[in-house]
Amino acid sequence: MNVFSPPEDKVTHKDLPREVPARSSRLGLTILIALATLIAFNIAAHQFLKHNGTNRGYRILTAKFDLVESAPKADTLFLGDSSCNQGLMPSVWEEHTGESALNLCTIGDITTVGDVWMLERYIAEHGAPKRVVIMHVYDVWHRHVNVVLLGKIPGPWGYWRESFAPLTLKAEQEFDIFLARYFPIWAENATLKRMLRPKINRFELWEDGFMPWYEPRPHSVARDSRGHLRLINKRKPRLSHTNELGLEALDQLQEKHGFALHFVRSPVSERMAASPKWKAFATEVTKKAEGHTESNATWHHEFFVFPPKEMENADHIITQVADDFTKRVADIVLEKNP
Amino acid sequence: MLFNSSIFFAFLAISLLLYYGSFKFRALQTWILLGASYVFYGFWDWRFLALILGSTVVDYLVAQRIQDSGDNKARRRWLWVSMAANLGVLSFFKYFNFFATSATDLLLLLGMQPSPMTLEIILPVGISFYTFQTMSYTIDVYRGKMPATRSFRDFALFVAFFPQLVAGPIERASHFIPQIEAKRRLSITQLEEAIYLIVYGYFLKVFLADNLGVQVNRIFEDPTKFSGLELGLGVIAFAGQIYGDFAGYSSIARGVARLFGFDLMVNFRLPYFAIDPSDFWRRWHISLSSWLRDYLYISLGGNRAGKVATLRNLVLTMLLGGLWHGAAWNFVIWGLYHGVLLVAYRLIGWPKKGWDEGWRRWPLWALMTFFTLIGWLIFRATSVDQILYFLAHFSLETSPNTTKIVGFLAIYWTPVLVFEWIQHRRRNLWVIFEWPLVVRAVILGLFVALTIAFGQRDSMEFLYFQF
Repeated sequence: MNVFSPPEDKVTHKDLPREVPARSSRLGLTILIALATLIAFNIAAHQFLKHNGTNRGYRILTAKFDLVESAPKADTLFLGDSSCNQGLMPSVWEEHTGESALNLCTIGDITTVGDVWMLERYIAEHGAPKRVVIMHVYDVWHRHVNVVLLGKIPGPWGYWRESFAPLTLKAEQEFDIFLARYFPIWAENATLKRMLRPKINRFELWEDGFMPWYEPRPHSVARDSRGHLRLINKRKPRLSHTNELGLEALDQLQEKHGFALHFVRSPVSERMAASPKWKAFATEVTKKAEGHTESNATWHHEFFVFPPKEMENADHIITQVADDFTKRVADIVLEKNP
Repeated sequence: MLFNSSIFFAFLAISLLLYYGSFKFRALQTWILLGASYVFYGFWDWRFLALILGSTVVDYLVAQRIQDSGDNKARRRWLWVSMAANLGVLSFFKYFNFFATSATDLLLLLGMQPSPMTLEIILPVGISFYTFQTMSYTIDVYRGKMPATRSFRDFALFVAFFPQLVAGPIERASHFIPQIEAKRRLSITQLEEAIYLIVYGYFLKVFLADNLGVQVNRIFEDPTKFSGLELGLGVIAFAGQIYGDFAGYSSIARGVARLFGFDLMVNFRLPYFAIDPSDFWRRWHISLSSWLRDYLYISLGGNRAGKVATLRNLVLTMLLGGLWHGAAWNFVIWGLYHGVLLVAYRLIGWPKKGWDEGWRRWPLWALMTFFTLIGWLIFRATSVDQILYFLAHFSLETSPNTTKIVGFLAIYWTPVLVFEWIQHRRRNLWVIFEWPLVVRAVILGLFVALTIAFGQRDSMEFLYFQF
């Protein structure tokens, strides 16, 4: 029986390139070196993205969890999402109240379980603070944790299982975390492609954890506000399982360590605040969250309303008004629990 | 089941396992490959399995009748049966609405009021490819170039072989069927070649074509938003997209075929280094251009019936070649355009002897590149009006976005151009195998890394699937 061998690639014209077959080679070694190249590229991308990535959410997470170790002990901790990250200024809080403060707010997609993990690490490093102020946007309460973000939080593999707020994840979710943590050329493909287009990298974080944002964006405020008002028509106010878990864990930590625990609302745009339907929705969902905590936690229900020219989007204020906002929050918090 | 989908990888892994698991039984291997090919095709649309089976049965039987007939008239009649069946199916599924609409438009122009007669026809994936493939078989049997195969299984595999089923290369039975009949083996060097073909194919498709496609779509969707120079850049981006897409697919198809021990023909030989239209067509979609030469141009008389007839045959062949690409007037115009280019170069006798060497290549190359880009504009445009708009608005006018678009093109085009420039200089498409092992491996690793890191994740379907 004849054995087929690929024929020599012949071409009709001298200028045409042809396929000159490979000589016998060490394929195994070739594959190993190619894999090593891929891994080296991945490591280089990982390092580059750590300090230069344009994905603000990822950088906030990594930077804030790293800050727990490097920052000094503080009397008051701010926890929560990005509205707090850009809203509460520790330096102003300290000047206004006499209590030192640290802003460890991150992003909404890790919900209150993220607050618990942050608090646990802070307590392990520095001991319990005197006061914890938690700020979340109203629509964080219905969210489930975005598991890919867990890959961006520093810590030993599986840290999410060993906590006051343990998460049980499926194998495919843990695989997503693995990719996010160790294979950024796959997981951050969109960020890498965006970075090929020259853009100003706006990431700035102060030593006390406050993240400044100076540029008002009235168009974004208007667009976001419309989006939120549409959202509440499609949804019922509810609390997600991960937030239930997070709130219960916060209660346990509060009972164990005895700090004052406060929940405050995030800033909100004038347009949203003017909507009775939105206000009712926000009130209802906060009530559900409040119902999930013990009476040791203090819930502050005041709305902090801002005009578009003082906001980046519908729930993030600009730095120019953050000091006043911080003072207002401090007054409310200390009035109820000095 | 796109080549760049996770389900394809799972399908390929299972097929390879089953195939090599039965390496001692060649017949079983062939059945496994045939089954896998039908599963692959059925994934696109199971309803069209009957069509490809029907085409297979017709040409299998017709070829045997051709071979067994002693009478030339009977042989010719059987050949016409094959042509009618294949072209009939192709015409119906691909061209019915085009001709119906065109006829309606013509009657309207003549002042009549015909009622439109279009049907809701779904184009079976790969029909242009496999019908041409089976027609080449019956024609080759008729011409006595090869005997008709007595194995329906082997012939069915030739028609449906999944790596090249939906977008080529358009294989020749005389090249492929002996491979089915022979014992197949995969040497280490062939495996390395397969890996290179697959890796480079994905690089061309996912890194080059899909990324450039984003820009192309933006510009062609609303050209009025872009400056004169940006319109030109859009055409250059499309040149990259169509090359990366099609050459990438062909490379993956050849690499996958090689994993099963099969050799498919080379379909691209650095077409953007061509210096004249003939040279371009010796390098671009070679399986189609050679098919058109061997079965259409030569059948029309080729260059044997005088100069005028030769030129007519060239234009007609290219016109029909354009129509093959799609049922739309821009494809017909594109084919005609290339036909006219071929004729024009022949008439003026370009390139003259010695012009293809040294510095003289450059102006020839620049001119051919310009002509190629105009051709791609015609090919990609959504209407004749759009072609005219582009032609009327090309200029050196820039906008604040121009630098971004130039940068974008440079980032994605440069690695490919540099690599292929080296291939061109060395006259070797597999120049990578001339390099030391470490260099070769690092380049392969970089291709994979760039594809993963910068490839378009929500990948676009291969362009040539629409043909």
